[in-house]
Amino acid sequence: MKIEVLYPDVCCLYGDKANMRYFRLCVPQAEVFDTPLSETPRFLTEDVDMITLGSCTESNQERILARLRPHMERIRELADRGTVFLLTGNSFEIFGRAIRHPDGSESEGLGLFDFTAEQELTDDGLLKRFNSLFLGTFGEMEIVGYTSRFSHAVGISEGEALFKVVKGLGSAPGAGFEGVRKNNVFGTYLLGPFLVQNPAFVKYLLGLLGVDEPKLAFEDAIQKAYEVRLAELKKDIVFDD
Amino acid sequence: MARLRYFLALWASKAAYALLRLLKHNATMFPGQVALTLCPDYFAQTRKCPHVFCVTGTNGKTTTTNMVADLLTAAGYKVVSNRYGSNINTGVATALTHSVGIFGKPKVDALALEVDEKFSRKILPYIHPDYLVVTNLFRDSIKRNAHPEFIFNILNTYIPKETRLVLNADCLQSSRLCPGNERVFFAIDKLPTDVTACVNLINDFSVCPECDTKLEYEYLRYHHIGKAYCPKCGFRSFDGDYRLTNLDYDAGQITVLHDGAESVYPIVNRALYNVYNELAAIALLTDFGLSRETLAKALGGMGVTETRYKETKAGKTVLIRTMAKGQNSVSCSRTMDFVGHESGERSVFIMVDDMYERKDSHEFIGWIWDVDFEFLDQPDIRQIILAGPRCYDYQLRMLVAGIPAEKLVVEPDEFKAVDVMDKDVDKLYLLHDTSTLDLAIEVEKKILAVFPAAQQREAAQ
Ligand SMILES: [Zn+2]
Repeated sequence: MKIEVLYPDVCCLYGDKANMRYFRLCVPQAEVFDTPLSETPRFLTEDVDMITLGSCTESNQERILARLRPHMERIRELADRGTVFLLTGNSFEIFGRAIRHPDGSESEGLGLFDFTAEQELTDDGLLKRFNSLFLGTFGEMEIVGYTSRFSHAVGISEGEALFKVVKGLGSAPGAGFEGVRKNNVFGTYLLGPFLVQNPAFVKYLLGLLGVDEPKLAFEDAIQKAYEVRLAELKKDIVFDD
Repeated sequence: MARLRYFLALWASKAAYALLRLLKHNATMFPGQVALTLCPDYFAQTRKCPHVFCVTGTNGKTTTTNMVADLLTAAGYKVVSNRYGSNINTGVATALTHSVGIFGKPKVDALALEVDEKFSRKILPYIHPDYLVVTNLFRDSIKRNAHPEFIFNILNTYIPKETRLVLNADCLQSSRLCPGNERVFFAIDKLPTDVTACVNLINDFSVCPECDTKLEYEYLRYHHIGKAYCPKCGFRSFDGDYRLTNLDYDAGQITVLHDGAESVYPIVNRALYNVYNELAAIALLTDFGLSRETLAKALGGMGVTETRYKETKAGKTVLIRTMAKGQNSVSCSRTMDFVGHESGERSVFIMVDDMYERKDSHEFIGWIWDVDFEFLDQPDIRQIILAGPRCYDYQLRMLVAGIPAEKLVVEPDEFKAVDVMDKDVDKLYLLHDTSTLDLAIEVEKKILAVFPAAQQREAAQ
């Protein structure tokens, strides 16, 4: 099994790197490749089973777009073929139609999805930040997490959404769903240690990658942390501020 | 009209201060709040004293501001600072109220102001500081500060063009601010403890801004702090105008090279981040015109007031209560580095959950995956106690860091955790967040209760 961690040198905000750090403990047999921003992605020249990207700054979104735009066809081919993509935080915006800036200008996205990521300004001219805890579902699975961002993804149809919202902010204010999915491409605004906080989803991904009877590293500990968090999020607490 | 409104605000602010003092209340924010409510352009309306110094940055701004204020005072200047107050607009407004008389005339020589980096946009453009020190920029609270580039953009937009900057050449995140402004740089030369590849989990400036290539380092101190260069395009860190060329812990002194001449100063505090703060103050005030003799003499009598650090000796054991600033992964990593590299058999009690979030919400815990808890994986650290509501998240974090499960105690209730703490060690560390200081003091009392009172004494740092 080959996993390519794309641009961990810049996609490393908010603890996102924890996901692959933990994931590789669950699949010690996997070959994991870190591809820095200045290097050519491995997926262009060989097949990989999983590609991941994490949260980055807005300027690094642009740098990544500039590097990946020439390879849109290859990315589409891999997505169609069922390659697993895990895109956390604002990195999934790169795969939409465009990122629209507060001045109305747009950066062209990779176009795997049709949504537009839209940024807004506060009254005094700063990018507006949105913070929210999250409780949702993925099939039978209960998903917990957190989002903190400068934008919303507008134009996601319910059919291509990843999670249903139970509590907290979805892909955009009022949206009853969160993130995007196409085949095995999973994109979510949930950021930081998203996998580390959702052991069942880790198992699900391991299953997609063909691991028989997936086993989690430190299973009791990850499960306990998940259960405590889930119980707290089900209480009447403040979700966004 | 604007002036009338200003004077009403000034008098109300002064009255609010007097009243609060009379009632023995803390009066650091409210007087400023009154002023800003009555007169929204209070900053612009206030007549400034002859010299205005501001300090901002992620870490070290309080220590640096206090040093600057003390050094100016020692040099004979009458100074107002917001040292006991807040560093957002209300705290700065309170300081401005103190800096003028009832007719609005400046009554001090200098203002030394700590300015919150995000609030800087509401302060700097209106008070036009003569000098601004930027200590460094690191990632900080995700909710408030997003990421360091966001803060960089705010400062880069709102720092007035005429403000002279004092910048840390070893921090590429902040040294590139406002290239059009006049500036001086401070830097610490290569130290024996430096490395050339990052050993920390996070480096907020690892890629060349010109060509995306991974930066390399002549020396790297921690995180992105060091002297970087791009192996491909020639981009590199700035050179220091004030270079610390020798850090002599044994002699308790530092040597600073400036304009071809070396000057020696006493070390105020041995922690490396405080050496940076001292160097920033020296660079600022030398550039301002104070002499080496004045600075060295005043630094010699100075200590860093560490409300954040307390040692108590109890028999053969030392209890050290210190801050590990929650949600600030760099500051927290510095504390883990320090505790990890101390000597002796140690127990470490970690209670850094946010006090406010635990009350009616749930803390986002992503930042703990950026903290170098790996430093705690030492044979002579016998036990690590993880206490507070997020203790199960910490447990997983420690396991992934490679710390053996049998060393971990996981207990949501801090006071119950004290009961199972291994106290038969040389050093007990109690690490708390800014928001859990009061709770930590109670926990500290409970820990100390097992030691005979006669054996206890507070130790100087
Ligand atoms: Zn370069």
